[in-house]
Amino acid sequence: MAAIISAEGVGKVFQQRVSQPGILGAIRSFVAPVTRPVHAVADITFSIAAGEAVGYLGPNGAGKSTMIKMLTGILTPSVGEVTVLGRKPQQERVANARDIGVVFGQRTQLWWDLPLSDSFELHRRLYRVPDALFSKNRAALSDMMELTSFIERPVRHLSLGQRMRAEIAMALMHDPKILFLDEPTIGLDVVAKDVVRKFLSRINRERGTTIILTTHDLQDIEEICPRLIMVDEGRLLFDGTLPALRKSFGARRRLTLEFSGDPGEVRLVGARPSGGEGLLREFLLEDDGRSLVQLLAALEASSDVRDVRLHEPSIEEVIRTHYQSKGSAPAPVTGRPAVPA
Amino acid sequence: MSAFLALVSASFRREAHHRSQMMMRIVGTLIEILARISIWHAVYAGRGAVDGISIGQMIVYALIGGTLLSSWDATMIVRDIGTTIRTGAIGSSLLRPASYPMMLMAEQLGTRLFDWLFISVPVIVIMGLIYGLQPPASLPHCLLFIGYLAVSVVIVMLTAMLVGLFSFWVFDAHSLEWFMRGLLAVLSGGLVPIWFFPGGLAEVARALPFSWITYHPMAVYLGQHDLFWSVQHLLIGLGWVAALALAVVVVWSRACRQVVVQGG
Amino acid sequence: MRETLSLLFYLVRLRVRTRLEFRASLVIAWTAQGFGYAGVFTSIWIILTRFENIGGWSWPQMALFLGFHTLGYALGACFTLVQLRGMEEIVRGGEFDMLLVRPINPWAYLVFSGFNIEYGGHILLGLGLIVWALPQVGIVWSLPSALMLFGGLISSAFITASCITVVSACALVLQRARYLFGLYFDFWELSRYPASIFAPVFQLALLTVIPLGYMAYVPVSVLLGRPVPYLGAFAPFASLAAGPLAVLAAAAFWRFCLRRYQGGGG
Repeated sequence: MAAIISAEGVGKVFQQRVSQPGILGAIRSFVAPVTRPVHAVADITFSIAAGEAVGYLGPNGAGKSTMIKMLTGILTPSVGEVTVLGRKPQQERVANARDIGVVFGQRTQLWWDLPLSDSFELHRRLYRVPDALFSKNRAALSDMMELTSFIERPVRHLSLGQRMRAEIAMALMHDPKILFLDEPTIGLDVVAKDVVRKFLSRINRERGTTIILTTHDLQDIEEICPRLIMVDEGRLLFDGTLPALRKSFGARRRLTLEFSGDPGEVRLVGARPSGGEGLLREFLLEDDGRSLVQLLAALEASSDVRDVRLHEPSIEEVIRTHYQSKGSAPAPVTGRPAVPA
Repeated sequence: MSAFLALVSASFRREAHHRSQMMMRIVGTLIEILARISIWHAVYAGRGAVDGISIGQMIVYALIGGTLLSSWDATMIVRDIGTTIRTGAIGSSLLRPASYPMMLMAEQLGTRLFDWLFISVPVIVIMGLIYGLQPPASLPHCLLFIGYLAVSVVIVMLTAMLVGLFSFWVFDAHSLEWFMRGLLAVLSGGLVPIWFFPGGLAEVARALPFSWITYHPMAVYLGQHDLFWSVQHLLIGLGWVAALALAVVVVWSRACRQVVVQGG
Repeated sequence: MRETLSLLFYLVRLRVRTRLEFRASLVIAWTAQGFGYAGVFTSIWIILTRFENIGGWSWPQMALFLGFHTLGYALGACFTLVQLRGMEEIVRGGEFDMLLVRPINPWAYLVFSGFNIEYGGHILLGLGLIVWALPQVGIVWSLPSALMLFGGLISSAFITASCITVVSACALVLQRARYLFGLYFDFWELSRYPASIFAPVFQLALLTVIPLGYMAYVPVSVLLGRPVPYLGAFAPFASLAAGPLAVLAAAAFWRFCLRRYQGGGG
């Protein structure tokens, strides 16, 4: 299937004011401010096909928001080209806006003092949604997100979780082809997060809505997005699936062994001891695809094994591994072809 | 010593940062004073003196009355109190050891002193160089004027606090601010000195405490009254300060009860 | 086009409905603001009772002037001031980004969704002064003079809206605009007096770069048959054209700033 979003060598440069040291510096920067270019996004290329759910991930200041702003038509790229549904988002801002849904986790689009239903009605008029489609979507989405009980209540009386559910439902009222979410679960409690995640992955599955989300919460990605794009300092670090990420960043599975007696020196071919004391021993395993039985067969120890645990590395560990090893040349890694099948 | 210098440097840098804002305020005040002086020039239109007041004296009135003795910034206090009440921050200020009115007073006094130094003084110097600035009538008048200046600031602040505290019971602070603005614009003698008021209105305005904000201090500066009268009215001004302070304390304690009952 | 208009009208209705939820506070706000203005106008009245005229303007003439100024201002400000005054916060808080992802002109959305009915006090006071003053200033009514009155008011409203738009647009680029609003109001206060009393530099400024002279001074002078410095016989046309021209300039400036918008809030 053809790509509906593509970024081609995209970069964004901001001019930042530099403050000068000392009193003379303060005067100088008052008279003639010195600016320094900041590369918020640098040379990023990717493409996304219809129906995908992609997590856009990176630490604070990595250029996530800037990229979302370029995709939604808020900013123009300084270099390169962004295409969304065949358009340049900023040049055809209004046309682009009609075909996408946007939810920014920390900003509300709802009308604070009026009931939710009024915000929905405004949305209908803004996006010129045909009446039949609107009532169908309103009924279906209210039902799915359980909005019915508070739809007539002023938004200021709703909880954060209720508001976020309403926010996402509203962004889908005009059947957008793409849904952009910036930190959709920020500030929500565990239950509300769970509802939102389940809902998003259902929307992606059942309606085929393409989802792009940025997040700090890695669980969002594990539950919603089969594919993730990782950026840092404006550059693309990784584009691919979670297992591919684990593989290419060399995050290891961890094996924990518990012995019935003192095991003495424990050796395991193709594994590195990583800690443990007393009856416990831990190993980091090479990514060689050996099964647990094969591993245990290769074990050399002077005591019987009482219990075994094998941990898959969480995405968090993967990324921590990456940042710990940073400085040792983080070249972009591509885990899958540029245009997915 | 190096810590002191660091502090000076830091505050200088902070000011330099806000300098464009300060310049704008100086320009704004210059324009405002210019408007007033233009009005007096236009209405005097070559007349030597009206009610014994010369155009030169009216220029001083506009210049000092529109800067050091202005009641305009008082509206900020009303706004501050309104915000504190609306956001519920008032609850936490009840927990602090210092009383809220005292803290407010200290904060506002700092702001006011800063404005005097960096906005009023430059404006007075610039306009004084252009239009000339008459000195106070005599040295004793000058000393008394300093006393009046202090009374003026305190009366402005107490009035503003009193009005601001009413937003506990009445309506939003924004409306109170407008009421106070309208009231003080006339009754302080800020724009037009009370000696130009028609008879009855002048009597009322002179008696109310608001005339100590701009009118009485300027009348003393210009030597409109003898020293006995000036001292006597400074004492009356202090009496008003005491009365307003008492009113603030009473209203504040009632307001506190209100907070306790409503739970903030 | 029809759909857009109905959408904008709906936005106004939503805002008005929200505001009407607190009716008592609305009436108080009207009274309070009217009272605030009345304070300043009383001062001007006092000057005129003592000195007969300001630069040749009698009290009824001044009353017409002030009424015109207040009404024209209120008609422009109800669409712009409160919603655009906070542009600095709108930009820095990222709210403006949210507007840009909607299929609508962000200026139109801000202006109509923020339509402010709190100017009732201004409008009553302005109308009251005009109605009181008109019979006393001896205007000979004709089609041109009626056109001057209504056209002048609309021009005045346009100038207000344009100035406020221009100042707020600065926030799109500079991320701040609040102190510029302060400066606008300083000049706005100058425009409450006949421009002829000011130094020539200010007169020229009020008739050109800071077109606030057209808010009331020029149109009311024309109505009263008073001479207008620098403009002369051209004054009536200048007065009617100033508003639309200001709108064009403001729209161009807004677009200029919007193109340079670099996002706000993270």
